[in-house]
Amino acid sequence: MLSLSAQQVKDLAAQALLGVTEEEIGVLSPAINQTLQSIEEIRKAPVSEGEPTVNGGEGGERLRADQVCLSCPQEAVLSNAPKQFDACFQTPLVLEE
Amino acid sequence: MNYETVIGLEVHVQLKTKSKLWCGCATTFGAAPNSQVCPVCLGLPGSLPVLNQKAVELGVRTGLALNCTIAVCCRFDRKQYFYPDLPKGYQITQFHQPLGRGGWVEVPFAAGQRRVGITEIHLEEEAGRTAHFPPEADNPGYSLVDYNRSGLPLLEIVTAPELRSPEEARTMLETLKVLLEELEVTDGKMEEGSLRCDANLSVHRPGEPLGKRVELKNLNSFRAMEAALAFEAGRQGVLLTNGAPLDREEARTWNEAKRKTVFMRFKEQATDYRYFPEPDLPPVSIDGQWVERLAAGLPELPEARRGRYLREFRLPADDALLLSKNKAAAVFFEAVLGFYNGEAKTVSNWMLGDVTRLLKEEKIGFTDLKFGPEDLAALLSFLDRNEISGKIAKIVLAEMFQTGTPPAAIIHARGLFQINDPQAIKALVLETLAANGEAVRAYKSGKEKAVAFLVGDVMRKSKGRVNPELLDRILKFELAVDEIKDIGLD
Amino acid sequence: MEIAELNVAALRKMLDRREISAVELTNYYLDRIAQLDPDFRAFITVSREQALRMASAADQKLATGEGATALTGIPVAVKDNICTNGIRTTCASRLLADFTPIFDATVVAKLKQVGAVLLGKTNLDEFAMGSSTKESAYGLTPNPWDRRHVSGGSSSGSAVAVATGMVPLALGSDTGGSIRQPAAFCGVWGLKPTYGRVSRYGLVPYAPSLDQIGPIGRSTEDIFLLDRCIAGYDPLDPTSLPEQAAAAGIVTGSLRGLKVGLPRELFGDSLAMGVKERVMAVARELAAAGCILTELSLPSLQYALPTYYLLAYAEASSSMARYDGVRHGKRACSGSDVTGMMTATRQELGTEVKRRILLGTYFLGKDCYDDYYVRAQQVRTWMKADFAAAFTECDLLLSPTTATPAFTIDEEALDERALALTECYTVAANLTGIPALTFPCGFLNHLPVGAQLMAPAGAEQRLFQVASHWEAATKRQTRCAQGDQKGAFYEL
Repeated sequence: MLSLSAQQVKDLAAQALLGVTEEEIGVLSPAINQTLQSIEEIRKAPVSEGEPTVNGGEGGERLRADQVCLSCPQEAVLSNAPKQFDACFQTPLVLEE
Repeated sequence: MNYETVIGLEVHVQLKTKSKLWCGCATTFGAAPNSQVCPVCLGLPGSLPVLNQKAVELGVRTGLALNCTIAVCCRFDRKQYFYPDLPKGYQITQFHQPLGRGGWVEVPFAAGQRRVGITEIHLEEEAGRTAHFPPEADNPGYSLVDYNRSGLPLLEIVTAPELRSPEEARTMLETLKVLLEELEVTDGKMEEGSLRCDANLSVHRPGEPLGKRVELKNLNSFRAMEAALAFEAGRQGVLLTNGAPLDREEARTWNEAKRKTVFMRFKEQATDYRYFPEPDLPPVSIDGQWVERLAAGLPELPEARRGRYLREFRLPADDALLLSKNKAAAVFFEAVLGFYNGEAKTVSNWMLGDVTRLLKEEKIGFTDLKFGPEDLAALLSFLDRNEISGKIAKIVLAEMFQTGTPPAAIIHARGLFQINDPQAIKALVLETLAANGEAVRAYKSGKEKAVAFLVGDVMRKSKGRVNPELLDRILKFELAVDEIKDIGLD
Repeated sequence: MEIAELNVAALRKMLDRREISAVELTNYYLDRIAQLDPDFRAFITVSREQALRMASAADQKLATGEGATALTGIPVAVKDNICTNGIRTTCASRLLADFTPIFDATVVAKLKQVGAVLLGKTNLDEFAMGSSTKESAYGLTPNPWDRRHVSGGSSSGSAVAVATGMVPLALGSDTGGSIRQPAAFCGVWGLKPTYGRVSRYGLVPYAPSLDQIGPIGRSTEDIFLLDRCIAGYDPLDPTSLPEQAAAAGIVTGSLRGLKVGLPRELFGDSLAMGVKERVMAVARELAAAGCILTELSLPSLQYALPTYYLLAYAEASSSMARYDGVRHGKRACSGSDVTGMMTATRQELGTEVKRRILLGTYFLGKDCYDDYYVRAQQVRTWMKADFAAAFTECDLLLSPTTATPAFTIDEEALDERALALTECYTVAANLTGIPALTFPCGFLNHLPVGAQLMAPAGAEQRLFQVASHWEAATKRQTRCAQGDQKGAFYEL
């Protein structure tokens, strides 16, 4: 049976770059464990050999011809940027590994 | 101590398409920042990827050339990690069902030719480009992101860990680069990043299991790659020799300034990428007949060409290798043969000798030549017909190279035709003999070397145009006649 | 009769006869929004200026007659997770409070093309994750029949705007029931089309293999008209189905011989008695019209909910990764390096969204992937086969849309299990990609009850035909709800 400790929930949040407060962890942990309990049933489903379904529909792939279309104007591209500089999106410094 | 090195490569090839992998934005290099961007390659909420057919075609062509089994149906997956240049928070790549698997390529290593396995090839999208500005006195530093590169089509080629030295790794990459350029699937410009390489390297004692491997990143030139691998092999070798071999896999990067590899992270610390099948893209079924047509349309690749040169033209092994691995040279070579009735070896000699020397002096390639293959063929034909001498041919070639003028025009204009008329040569010889009594006498007194002086004199007068063989025979004959006269036989 | 009570066909007639202009009609609805919406918060954004411009363009179109269609001049509201060029699209998230798309969703482009008038953007649970708009950063949209009750979710803004007559038509999106559940709770009609029938280009993704845009309206014909306008192949959506010939109208005529299946699993113990009675009344009416009722079993339905959670949350965790504060959205100021900034920015997401991201992240990790996630994908395959088999025995399926009418606002907060029971009626259509239509079939304790019809992929016409037959046979229509009057059908 799957279950996650508060610390494991915090680790997941760190992996998903999701800031969470202690208070939220208090709400999230039991809610998450409740869902984990409810998905346990899936293990009983008689499907060991079946092919997995990935897509929502039956449509086959539609490939695009290699044609150049107009890109968006630079100012439109940058219009929602929280911060920009020199026509680039600016972020706090990336700490190199 | 004795140890062996094992290397495998991951080569990222930017495919030569007009538009990006999922959208119609142009792929031109060097545009203004964020000017070749649309909702799709900016990963805006609500945008969806639509696969570029040409990228699949180029991928299949490459797979065929690398002798891979092309998937009947391939899929895309999401590789999830956070980085500012990755606009969706995941990279669309192929993990579970790649485009091709299980290929090989023949590589002409210094120690001899050998097959190297290709584990798989897969399509994926390129990320944007990030520039970092470290902290200064009055600001905490920042990074800038340009998404022009985001969504360019990449083909990743993963080789089997079958390379045994940094030199072999370099030869492998060079071989791949030539092959990809011949296929016309990429520009292969390492300096623009359209060809990039990561490498995995481990060392072990002969007969013992493989050591822990290190992934080397940022190998942005052949030189960097060879240097980084050599450094890393040495480093791991020392560790092994000291009885403290690596016990964890790690990722390192090549620092060009310090000329050493630098630790990045241990592999087990590496993020779990949480790959899962891309729900936005249906599976791509690859039509077998289409693949067959692509296979039929593949150009002859260096390896096949080399074999043909050995078989068909009976070229020496070195000549066949040198001519076949350079497409421009090969095209030129075969074009010359189309105009030329002589020996293929003659063409090869001239191309790999004098022509290559001239090209190297100017730092240009066969495609930059001012004269055409028909001109070289004409020059060699003049030579074969004894209409010019080898020496003259070199002079003519130099002028062809400089000006592009056809050889016949040069020879005519400068009067460089070889004098093959015995009467004309005889006249020149007699003239020389008459004017050089001293040398004639020296010859007659047994100084054979005097002949060289007399030949030189005739050549000087004729500007080197006299057929040397005829000159030799006529000169010796006339000297003999002269001698007979002397003893008064007639 | 009030304009707000009129269906699209009636409005069409008025516009065509010049009894009213598109601008006047738009002003009428804008006034009604101004009057009613403070109580409902159905709209996050009312795009007044653009709406009047579009209306005046529609009037010109009507004057020349060029390119005028059934929806020319008809006001439409759009759920606020569907991108509108130049009009902010918030997904009811604080994170996207100032996000203004630079492109139109294909469905929006299609509406503009026919000259429909876009009134504004409607409330939803943050990123369409929820069943009550409790999760909206812009406040809860209460039930138009009783404000103490929820209006469902996540497309509740659209459902409420339609139910209250603030707009005749609206677009919603449906990932596990987000069109059908609020439509049922509000007493209106809603369709989740076949997966791939309507382009998803411009729909902010929650779970891309399940998401579909669809219409909400006040009659079968109304949702038919909106569906016809937005359906069709779109080269920008790789999962878009090939173009099908658009139907001229709803197929009418006898239902004799049509086989209607009643899945046993959807009439179980968890169903409120009164809901069952009202759905069975629909079944009896269909039988009276010559339909053959068949009881059947869909054993895979037992696993529908866990399957939905696994697949939807896993995809959601991935869909939500792009909100990192780099290219758009409200960036948190804290965080000195980029990872810190991203983490602080994403902290602003609501708890429910976080819950789903965390679960999805876990599902795709090495602990769960093979034993749970892939298994859910396998169940999905089985479920498709299960439904395909059912559709060899019957032409369509009839069930309740939800187990109970809209719950009270407190109840919803308390009982997540009840909520889960609600979802179990709707998720199967998303998992199998088939179309499902909900229509109101009565009231229980003054709150609407919805009946759901499901058909094989591509068989929307069958759903319209049966729903419109029931509507015509019972001659029933719901009044516009205003928040506290006792709901009831009135006979036309």
